[in-house]
Amino acid sequence: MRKEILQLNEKETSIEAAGNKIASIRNKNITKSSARFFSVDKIYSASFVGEIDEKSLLDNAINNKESALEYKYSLNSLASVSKETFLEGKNIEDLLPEYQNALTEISSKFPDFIFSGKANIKRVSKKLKFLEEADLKNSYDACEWYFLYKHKSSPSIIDGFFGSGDIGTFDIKTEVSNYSKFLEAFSNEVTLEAGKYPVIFVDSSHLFSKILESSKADNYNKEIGLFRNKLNEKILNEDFTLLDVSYDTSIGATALFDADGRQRSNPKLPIIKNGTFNSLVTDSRNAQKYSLEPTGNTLRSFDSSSVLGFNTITVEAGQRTVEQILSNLPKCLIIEMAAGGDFTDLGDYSTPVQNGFLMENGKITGKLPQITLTSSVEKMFGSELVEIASKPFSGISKCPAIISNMDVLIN
Amino acid sequence: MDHIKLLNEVNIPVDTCEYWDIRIEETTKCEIVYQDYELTSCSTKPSLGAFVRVFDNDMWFYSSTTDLNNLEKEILSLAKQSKSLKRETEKSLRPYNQIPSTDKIIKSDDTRLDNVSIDTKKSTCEAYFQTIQSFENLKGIKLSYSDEYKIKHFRSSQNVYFSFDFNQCGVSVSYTVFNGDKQFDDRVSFYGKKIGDLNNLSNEITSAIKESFLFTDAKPIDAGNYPVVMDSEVVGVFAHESFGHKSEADFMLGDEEAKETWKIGKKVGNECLSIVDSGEEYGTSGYCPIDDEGFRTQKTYLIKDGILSGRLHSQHTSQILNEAPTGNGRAMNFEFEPIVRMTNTYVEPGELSFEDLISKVELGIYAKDINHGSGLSTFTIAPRKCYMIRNGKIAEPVRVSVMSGTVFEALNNIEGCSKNFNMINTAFGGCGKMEQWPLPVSFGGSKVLVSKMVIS
Repeated sequence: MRKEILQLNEKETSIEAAGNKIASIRNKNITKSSARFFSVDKIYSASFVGEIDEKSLLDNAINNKESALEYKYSLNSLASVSKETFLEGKNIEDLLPEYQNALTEISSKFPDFIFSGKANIKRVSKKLKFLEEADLKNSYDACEWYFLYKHKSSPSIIDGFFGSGDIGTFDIKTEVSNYSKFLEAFSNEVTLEAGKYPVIFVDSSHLFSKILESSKADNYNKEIGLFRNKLNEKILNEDFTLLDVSYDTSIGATALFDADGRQRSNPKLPIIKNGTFNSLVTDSRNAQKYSLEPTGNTLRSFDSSSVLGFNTITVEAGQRTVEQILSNLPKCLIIEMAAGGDFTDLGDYSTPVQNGFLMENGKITGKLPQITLTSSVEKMFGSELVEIASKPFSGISKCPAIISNMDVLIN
Repeated sequence: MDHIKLLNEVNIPVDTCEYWDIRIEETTKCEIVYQDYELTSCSTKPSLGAFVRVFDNDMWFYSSTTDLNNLEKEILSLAKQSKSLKRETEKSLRPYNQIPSTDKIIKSDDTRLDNVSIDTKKSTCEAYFQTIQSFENLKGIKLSYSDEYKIKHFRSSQNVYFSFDFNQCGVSVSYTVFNGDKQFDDRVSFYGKKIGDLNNLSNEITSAIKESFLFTDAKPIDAGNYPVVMDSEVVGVFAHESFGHKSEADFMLGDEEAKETWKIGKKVGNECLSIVDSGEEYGTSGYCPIDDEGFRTQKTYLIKDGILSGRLHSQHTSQILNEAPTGNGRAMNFEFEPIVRMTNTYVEPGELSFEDLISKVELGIYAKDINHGSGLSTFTIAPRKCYMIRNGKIAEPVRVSVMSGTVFEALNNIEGCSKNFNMINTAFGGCGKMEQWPLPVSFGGSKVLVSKMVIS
């Protein structure tokens, strides 16, 4: 019999900018809780938003018989753990003046643009308590902020954005300063011919979806996905290593333990290692079902059943900085907004680009015209992979910048 | 706890702030999932909380709380926060005046989904196992059930009181069909306002799965420009993403030039085109008779006969742009502030039949349904099932990754709208805007022929 209480408290302050000025401030302090009771073969659960005592919550779970789920896996061993990653050298109250100053500075420097956006800081406290077994605690300050901008002559709702998300720190001034050169280049739309170009997505996370789908243990064992039956085979470029990282606050990974309280000995799980399909990801249920080792990928929000999911996905960093790589490329496309793209079942990829910039030998020369990019999983991370940088392109993503050749169609 | 009584008892001195309101939301959601016929998720999700707003000296102050016994204190605390924040304000624009009113629109007393047993909900799903199991070469079967019952109570300092409820449920089946080494991912979903609406759907599920098998052999499209006939689901996403979001007035704040670009009365599309947003229709997932700021919904023409005719407002944007509220200030739940959002967005029916539209195309695409869509300067639609149109007739299935275009070009390139009209409702997901996702909305309309779109 296992009795588990999950308590999640988020104390948040959120600042909204609209039309170049601070428009609102929102405060939130909400506790969300759940209880799970594991009998010999069934899980009983209940959740609650607000304050509730442990006994009432556990009683609710035990009495919730209609919603009980069968389980067949052995319950994992547990170890208590506690971590805190709070702001250092700054206070939560510093966010408002820093965001406000950045807004004032950038809107006066670039009067042809309208800026809006949000800054959000929250102290997250996650406690997973297994009665008479172990207490697992993870607390951290998470700060996310962004500015959306729109040129006054533009018919779009949004022309571009920049920002950052960090654990235990924030530095709005530096990021805003770094982005200024893109706003300076915005009004100069370059001409581009159709053809093949090196491309960097400022945020590349959506490009991994087909690989991740194939790496889920249940999909793989049902022979679903692009890379079905390819485990341990070389499928992508030697320089490409795709990682599922559970805990590394420097890249925003905060899963110190998974929903079943499992802690990884090595937080980095290589799904693809040097181009080889290295590992499947499993939760407790699928690990038992397919006789695999659990990988710490059991995910659950406070009010849902557990599912197989991913932690923070990133790639292994390369040797050279983005600047070093770009300085040697005659042309490279920086893709900032590419909403609406998708993969086919065969792994072919296509996306329109709403905002991007042309860099020539490391210098920004202008804004891209309306283009569509096409490629495929096997090309962008295989035969057409140019290089992976040592760091991300900007604060928008914590994943090292990936440079791949892609086909460009002019819209 | 009597939430109406709780609101009535709130007593705030008049000079505390320029405006305040409180919204209490009590919600129960249920989610059930079977993977390959095994029950893997079954949860009931109750929540009760309030969102409190104060407007003072040209700024909004918000608080979301689960402590309903201290609502007065929350307002006073926000007002205090306002006073403590030094700011230079030339002129404070007070929120758009509300007309004092009391509304109670409770429509689901007899069909509340939180009163339906979990066993009944599970039986509703399990009734379809046999239908799905009758197919071979089907894998990754996920059968999901989702429902929500929500009741809201509202009071503002301008003496607006309302209560209304919202009830919806849905079943979705997603799967992968196989033919040798070839595969195709597909899904079929159903929507209801009461649990009985989700019974007797075996024939529809059978038809959907049979059609999915046609796509295992579908070839990828040769990228290029094609005329496209969009079915109602695709049209709805196009209307919502390509134009609806641009009609949300908050994007115009602080932008004098946008007011000129989006001037009411400007011709923006073919005269056969009319796009509407309205939260009036009870049977839809976008039903919202009163918004989260106390304004009644209305039928708003965004485009009428090709002419820009209206835009969507919250209380805040109404005041700044000096236009009447439209009842579109909506919040995802009690944790968030209302912002300008759509409700049910659709293209009004035209004069042509579906066959008329298809017959106008020599070589083109018929896009039947979608995976997702988005709309910025260019809009994009990732369709799921497409067919070639050859010589005015629907031909073989084809794989299309993305359909895209420039919004105004596409609006002008619309050549005809069908008489057929269909709204797409869903209890799964909804519209996302910034941090607020998913908000229940509905979309759809007639079928539409666009003379040229970029297909890849």
